[in-house]
Amino acid sequence: MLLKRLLYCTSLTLFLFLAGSLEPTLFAALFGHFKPHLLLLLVIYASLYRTIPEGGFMSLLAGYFQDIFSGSPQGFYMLSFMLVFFTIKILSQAFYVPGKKLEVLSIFLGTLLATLYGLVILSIFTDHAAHFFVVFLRSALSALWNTLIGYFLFAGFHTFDLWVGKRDTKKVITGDARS
Amino acid sequence: MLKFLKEKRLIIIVVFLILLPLLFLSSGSKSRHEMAWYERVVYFLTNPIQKVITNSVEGAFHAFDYYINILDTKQKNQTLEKKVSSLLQELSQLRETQLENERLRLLLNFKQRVSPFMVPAQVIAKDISNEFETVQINKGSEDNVKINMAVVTPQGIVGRIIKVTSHYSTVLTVIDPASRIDAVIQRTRARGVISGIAGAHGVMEYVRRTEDVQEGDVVISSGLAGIYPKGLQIGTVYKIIKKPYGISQYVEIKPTVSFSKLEEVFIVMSLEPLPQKKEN
Repeated sequence: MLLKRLLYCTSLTLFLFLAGSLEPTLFAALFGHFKPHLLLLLVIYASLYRTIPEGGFMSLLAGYFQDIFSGSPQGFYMLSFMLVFFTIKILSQAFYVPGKKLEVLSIFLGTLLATLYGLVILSIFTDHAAHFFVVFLRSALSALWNTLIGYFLFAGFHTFDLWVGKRDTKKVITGDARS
Repeated sequence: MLKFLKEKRLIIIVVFLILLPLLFLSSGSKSRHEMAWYERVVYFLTNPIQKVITNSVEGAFHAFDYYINILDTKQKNQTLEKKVSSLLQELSQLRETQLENERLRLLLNFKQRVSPFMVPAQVIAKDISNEFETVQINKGSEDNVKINMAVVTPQGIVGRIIKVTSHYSTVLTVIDPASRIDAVIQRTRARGVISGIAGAHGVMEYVRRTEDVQEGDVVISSGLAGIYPKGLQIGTVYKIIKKPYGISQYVEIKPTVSFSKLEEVFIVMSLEPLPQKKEN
C-alpha cells in the first residue's frame, strides 16, 4: 500500500516536471500559441475523478508549476486552476456520467473556462491589457488540441489508476460523482 | 475544537484552496526579481531537460527539411539527383558560408553600434502559457548575467532579464503584458511607453493625440531608465486609433523581432562604451 502511494506521488511529480519540460519546448515548437496544456488536463482529470481535498491539492500544485514556468503573476494560474477545478467538480456532481463523450466535453469546456477565468483575474489583479478575442480564439484552438491529447491521456490515467490500485475507476467515478 | 474541525473539514479545505492562491496574487509576491529556493530547484531540474528537448526538436526540424528537399529532387530524376544533390550541397555550403559571413558582419556592426559588452545566448524554452511571453535562455549568474540586463538581437529589442539561476535566465519579452519600455517614434520623436498585450503584439501608450504618428513609423528605445540601449528598434506602427477626444491616441506596434522564431539572442552586459585609447 505504502509502495503504491509512493509510486503514485512519484508519478505525479514526474508528470508535473514532464509537463513543465515539454510544454515550453516541444509543444511550443509544434503548436506555437495554440499549444495544449498537460497541466490543465491534469486539473480537469482531478476534478472529474478525485475527491475535493486530493484533487484540489493536485490542482493547486499544477497551478503552482504553471506559475513557475510562466511570466504570470505568482498565484495567477493557481487561482485560475482552482476555479476550473471547482466549476467542473460542481458541474460533474450534477451532470457527469462517466463516459468518453462527457470526458471530452469537460476537457473542451475546462480549457475555455481556464482562459475565461484567466482573463477575469488578469483584469482584477493586474493592469495587464489583453486582446480578448484573440486570446479566446487561441484558447478555442488550444482546447481542440487538449481534447485530442486528453482523450488518450485520460485513458492512460485510468489505466494508471487501476495499476497503482489508486481506485477502481468505474466504481469510484460513479461513487465520487454522485456522492 | 477538534470536533468542529472534523465536521467542517471540507469547508476549511475549500477555503484554504481558494485563499492560498488569492494570498499569493494579492500580496504581489511575484516580485519577478526574487526567486525562492524551491523555484530554483524546479528550474535546476527542468532547464537541462528543456535544453536537450529544444536542441533535439530543432535538429529534427532541420533533418525533416533536409529530407523533404532530398525527396523532392528524387522524384524528378533518380540519376540526376546525385549530381544535383552534390551540387546543392556545395551550393548550400557556399550559401551557408555567405550567410554566416553576412551574419557575422551584421553582428560585428551591431555590436559596435549597441555595446561592445554583449554575450550571445540560446533560447531554450518559451513561456508555458499562451497568455504570457517570457523565454528561457542558457546563460545565468555564472556568466555574470544580472537582473534587468537588456536582451537584444540585430533585429531589435527582445526584452530584459527578470530571473537568474546559475546557468539559465528568464527574459521578459517586450510583448509580455507586464513589459513596459520608454520609446520614441523615430521620425517625429513623439514619446510613449510600449507595453505588451495578451493576445496581441504591443501598444504604445501615452502618445499625445496631437503628435504626428503614421502607419509604418519606426519605434525605437529612448534609452531612459538605463536598461535598454538608446536607439534600438522595437517595432513599427501598424494601427492608429485617434479619437476626437482624450489626451492620448491608441498606437499598436508590430515588433521587429520575430518572437516565434527566436533562437539566438544577445545579452547586453553593460551599456557603457569601450574606453578610448589615449593618443600619445
